[in-house]
Amino acid sequence: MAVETNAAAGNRLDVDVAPVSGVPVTMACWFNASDATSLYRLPIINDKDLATASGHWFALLGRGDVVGDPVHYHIQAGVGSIIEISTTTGYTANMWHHACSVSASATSHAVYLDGGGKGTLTTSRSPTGLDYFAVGVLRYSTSSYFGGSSTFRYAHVAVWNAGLVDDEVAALAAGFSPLCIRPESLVTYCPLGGRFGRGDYKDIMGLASLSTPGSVTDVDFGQKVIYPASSSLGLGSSASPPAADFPYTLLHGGLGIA
Amino acid sequence: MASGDTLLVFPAWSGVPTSSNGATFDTRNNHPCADFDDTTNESLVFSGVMPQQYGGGGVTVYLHYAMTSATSGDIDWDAAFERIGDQQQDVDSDSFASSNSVDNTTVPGTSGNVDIASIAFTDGADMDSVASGEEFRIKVTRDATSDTASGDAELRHVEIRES
Repeated sequence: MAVETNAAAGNRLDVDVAPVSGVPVTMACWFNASDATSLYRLPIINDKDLATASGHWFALLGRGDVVGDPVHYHIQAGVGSIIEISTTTGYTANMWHHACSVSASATSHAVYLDGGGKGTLTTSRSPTGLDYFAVGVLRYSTSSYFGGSSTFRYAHVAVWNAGLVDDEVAALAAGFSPLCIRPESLVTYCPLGGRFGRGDYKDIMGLASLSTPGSVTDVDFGQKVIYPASSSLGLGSSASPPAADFPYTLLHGGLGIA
Repeated sequence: MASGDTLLVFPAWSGVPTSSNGATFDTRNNHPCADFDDTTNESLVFSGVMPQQYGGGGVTVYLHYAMTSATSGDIDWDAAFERIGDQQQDVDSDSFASSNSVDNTTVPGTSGNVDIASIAFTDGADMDSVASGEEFRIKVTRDATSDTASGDAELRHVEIRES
């Protein structure tokens, strides 16, 4: 499952709590944009109480409005300080892609598309006062910016309070659930459906449920997701039961009654 | 449990990479696996409860792996147990027993072929005295600084059998 929203005004998922207070931070999600001509706001963490020009934020963006349709990672920490990191590859409309931004420190920033196309920047930026987390909007005290008017879909939105490394980002793009990747640092994980249920926008790491101002729709998610597995229990050799009336069936992770 | 019987099977993606030098998850032709570097010793930790069927005869750990690209050279694997048990281990710290090893295993001549390497543990201190019904962890490490096969090793499953 995934969530679809039209990026017009009012349509978003958000919560008035920030998953992190600053660097290090990693944000990631799967997204599927209906065009490669619009700007799409993917996960964003910012200080919603500041005016636009003086804002602090980490923002992951699908830039269909830029030549090559890259994913951008914007960081601003006060007036006139915005920096932009771009992937070296671009996304394709109506296909699922994985986007990830990493700020391992104030001077180490990277952005990835589908586990590669890495762009990096070492300019020092360290936003503060963060109090808002959203997908689909960059919100300020005086205004909100939503992006293009086309529909886009997203799923498995996650935030870590650590800077993931290249192999870990590649594993996410290969389909591993964020639960498999450095789980001790995973602070927000909104699957937006799947095995966690349709229409369920909670953060299963306990941050807060996302609200859905405007209009969002539950849609299919056309990618595999590899969740953490449990062990399987051995039941014995061929010389052991089951006898003809043995009532038990071996199930993954334990025994069940047949 | 009879000798040779399977006690537990862990898929690689049920493991947790160690905080430093952890193996990393990957897929190969849609098969999930865990990659272990060829230059740095990396580890993956699995958690389980020793089944009641464990008869105290010691265990053998079977590592199902393939090489990403290598078709020559050898690989070294280590495994170590940590008993959690009933008030036996403060989980705020780690306390793995010394590892046992299987060294100098020649890797398959075809990189996509899965090999099975085994490491034996005697009952008692050798497996940190893990007993039936007790929670435990097992850490699997590729001893990459000692082996010679180039490129990643892809761990797929870990099987524990009664020895």
